[in-house]
Amino acid sequence: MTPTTENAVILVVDDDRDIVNAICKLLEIEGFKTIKAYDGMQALDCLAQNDIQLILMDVMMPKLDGLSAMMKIRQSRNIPIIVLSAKSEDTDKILGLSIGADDYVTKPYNPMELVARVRSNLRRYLSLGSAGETMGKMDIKNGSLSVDKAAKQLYIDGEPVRLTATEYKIVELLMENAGRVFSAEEIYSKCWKEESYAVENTVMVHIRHIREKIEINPAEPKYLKVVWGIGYKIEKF
Amino acid sequence: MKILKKRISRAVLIAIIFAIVTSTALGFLDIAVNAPENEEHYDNYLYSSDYMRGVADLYTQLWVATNMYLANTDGSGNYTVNEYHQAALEKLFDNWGVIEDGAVVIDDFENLEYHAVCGNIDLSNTDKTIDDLRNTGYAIEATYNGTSYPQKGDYVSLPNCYIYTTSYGLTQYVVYGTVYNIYDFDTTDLPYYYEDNLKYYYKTDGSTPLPSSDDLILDCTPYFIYDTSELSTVLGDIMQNNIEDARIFRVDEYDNTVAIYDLEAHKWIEAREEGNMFTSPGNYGIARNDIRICISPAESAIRDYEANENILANYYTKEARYIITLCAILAAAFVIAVVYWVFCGYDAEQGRYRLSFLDKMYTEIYLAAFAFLVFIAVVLIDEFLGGIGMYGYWYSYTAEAFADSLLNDMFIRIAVSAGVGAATITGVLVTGAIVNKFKTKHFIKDSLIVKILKLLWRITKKACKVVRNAFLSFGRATNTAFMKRFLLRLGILAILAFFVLLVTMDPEVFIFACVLLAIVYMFFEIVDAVSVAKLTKRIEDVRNGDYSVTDVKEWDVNYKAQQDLNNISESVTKVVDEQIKSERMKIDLVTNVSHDLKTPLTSITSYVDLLSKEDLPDEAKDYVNILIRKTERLNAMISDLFDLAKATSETDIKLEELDAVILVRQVLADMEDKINRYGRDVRSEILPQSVKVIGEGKKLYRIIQNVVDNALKYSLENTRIYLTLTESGTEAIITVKNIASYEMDFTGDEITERFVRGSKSRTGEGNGLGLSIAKSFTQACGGSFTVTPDGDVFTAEIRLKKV
Repeated sequence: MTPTTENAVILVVDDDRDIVNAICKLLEIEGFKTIKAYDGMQALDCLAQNDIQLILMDVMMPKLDGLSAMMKIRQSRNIPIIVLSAKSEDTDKILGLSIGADDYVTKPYNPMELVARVRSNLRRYLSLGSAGETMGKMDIKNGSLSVDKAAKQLYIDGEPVRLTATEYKIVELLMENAGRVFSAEEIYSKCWKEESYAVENTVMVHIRHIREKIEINPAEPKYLKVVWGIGYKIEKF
Repeated sequence: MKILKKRISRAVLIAIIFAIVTSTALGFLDIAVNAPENEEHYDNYLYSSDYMRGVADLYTQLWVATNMYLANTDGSGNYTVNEYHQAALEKLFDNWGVIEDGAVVIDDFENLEYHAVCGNIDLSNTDKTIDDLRNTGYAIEATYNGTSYPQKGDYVSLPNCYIYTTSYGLTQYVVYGTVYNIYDFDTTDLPYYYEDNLKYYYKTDGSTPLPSSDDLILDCTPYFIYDTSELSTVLGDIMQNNIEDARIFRVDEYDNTVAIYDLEAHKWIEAREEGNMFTSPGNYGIARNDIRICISPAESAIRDYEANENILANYYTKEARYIITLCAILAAAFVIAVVYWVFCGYDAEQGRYRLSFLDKMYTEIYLAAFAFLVFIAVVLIDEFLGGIGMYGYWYSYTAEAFADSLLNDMFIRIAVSAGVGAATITGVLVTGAIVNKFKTKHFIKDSLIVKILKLLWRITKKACKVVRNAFLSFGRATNTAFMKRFLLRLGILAILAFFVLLVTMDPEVFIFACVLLAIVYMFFEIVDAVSVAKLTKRIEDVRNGDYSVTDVKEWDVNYKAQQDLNNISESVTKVVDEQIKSERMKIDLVTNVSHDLKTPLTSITSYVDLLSKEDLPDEAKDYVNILIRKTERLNAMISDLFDLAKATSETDIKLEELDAVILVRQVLADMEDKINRYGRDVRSEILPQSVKVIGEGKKLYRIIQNVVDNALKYSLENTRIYLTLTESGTEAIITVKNIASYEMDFTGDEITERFVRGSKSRTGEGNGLGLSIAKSFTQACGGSFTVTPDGDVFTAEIRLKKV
């Protein structure tokens, strides 16, 4: 049976058994299969013995911590790994992501968000092969996001996202210059093609709307970010 | 006031006493002034110089007449001496004018009576016998080679006239008036002096007045006195054979004649005339012992004199009485004054001595006044009393005139009494003040001179201090390596230049050497300047936080300073390291605690979520919803707490430049939903186009968000929230104002404390950390955050540093 997003096997690693149980239960309700592990070593063992499509990994664990385990896994596998940590600092997130995590969820997690992220990562991982042809014609790719300029269409993990014309223009602008910060005036003048004046509110409203459509947790956006006091940008992955 | 009254009344009393006393004293003056009429009185012949001259003249004439003429004649005008002696004598007589045509002519002395006896010849101008004259008690007499001859050194005393006699003749000395002298000495062992080649003898025992003045010498002609050794120079070798050694001669020179008289034998031994020597005469005359001379004042003159003496004696008695009385009065006055001095200034109420306002002037003023009064007194006393005494008569014209007017004029009498009274009052007050100053120990204290001296002393001390400090600071300055080197180099330079000048003595070489030395000196100074520049740069570096240690050569002028800086840097680095370490530990602690809190919370969240997915009765679903909400809130609170802890430790701040205008707009736009949900109207007034500030975007976002959040939560319904952004000087100011929905009974400082909420019930939403976080974050970004509750208006003010 080829694994799909719906019947994927997920390895949940955490030294807190209650949390592992709760996550497994949550994922099972959503239709995933789960395997439990309580430290890094166990996780590596499980990974070796089972066919696993995604790993949810805690950082602070006995024997082998999450980051070390992840480094080991990354030596041979590109299986999606979502780090689940109580450490909420930016530095922790950056460290985790740079070592090889595909996503970083802080504890206490929002169950719905967690599930959404799991899905997102699975979709990207599993549909990689089949989505190959569609991905080929994408003009801009950035992490899960891709833009088909001809169709004026934004995809998240290959799934099309419905955007208004203005929203699309903003997304295209920011996608084309991923990582660059645009001020509200710039965005306005480029997307509205009008003289800008006190447009912060207008632009912000659109940004918020786009976020709600593309971000799993709009309050903690992964892609479309506000740079306070300066402007807006799409994070480059 | 009381004491003053007492003082003044006492002074007046004493003054009155003094005035009475003075009047009495003036009464005594009357007695004094009523003394005999002076000029009249002293008109008496015996007091006059005529009498003195008369006696001297007469005596001389009588002496010559008897001793030289009668003794050398036979009584009928024939000389009994040889012709040479006769010629010499005749020349002398010519000169004196005593003998005229072989007869003795004695001048007429009106008030003098005399007898001059030589053998049986008696020259006289009176009927009285010689004994009558002697019995008057006023006679002077001489008997040659007789018993009554007055001895050398004896004197006959008449009032104001003393006549000395010698065995060789008469030496007369008049005490007042001109001195007339005839000198005749026994020169054995007498001291002498020369004048105009002549030898003059004198005596030191006072028995004979000394011939000391020129006048005296002139007046005492014609006698010159030689001793035998001198005679040879005057008389030549011829005389040597005839004169025995150590005999005293009187040598008389008249025109061309020199007469030599043997003073012991009382006979002439030689006389010569211009070139011709009288050969030894057979008879120069014989020593006679039957010559007597006696002179007495006339009887009327004596009577007159004696009457006068009586009057004077009477007058002296009165005068003495007057002086004694005056002394007694003065003594009494002094006793009264002493009594006054003892009691003056005593304050009965306070039981101590104190100064009245009259006593408070400078001490010197009183002393000067006192001195002036004493001076006046002395002058007056001198003027009035000076004349009484020595000559027994009142010669002061001031006193006389004053006494006249005093006797005759009542007004003057009153005026004098008043004057003396006023002077007395002044004197009493002045002396009282002086005494009082002593009593109250103010004498020195009140002295102007002492004050001036003190001031001078203070000024001197201050000046000394200034000078000393100047020296000290100069000393300190020279003590630094820099100054030491400077002075040393300058010294060496000067010495070298001087040396060059000394060796070459060539100005051109000297100038050249100076220039060369200056260049060398410049080199050293430049080295020092470079060192100073390095030091300055280093200090700047340290200020900017560069605490690296610098290695400096020991010869460097700033070696010590650099070493000090090294030490400072090391200790600062150490302190900073320790601080960082402790901050790190704090953060670690917070992180761990946060992790430990979050882990169980994660379980709770997870299971509550799972629970919510179960098919539960409605009631249970409500419970689960409550759990979900509270869990979320707990989560938010932990997260806030964590943020706060981090902000307080002020690490992990990424300061960047951003635009406050954009920021505020972004935050407001971001919060639009929430604002709408609360149904409040947020009126924003953003004045500047753009304000660049320093801060961390996320933190600034949290600050504004929290403040606006706070306003939304705690504002009265249907009121507006005002947000303004202004700039002033170096700051951007964001102000949020709202009307509080409750009574604000806290201060701005209290509300920004952690976990403090405006309404004390703690039931509403919010965890009380919002404003604390805002404040901490603002401070972390280098700004300031203040909250001012004013009535119902709540104002939060965020001040951020502009770029």
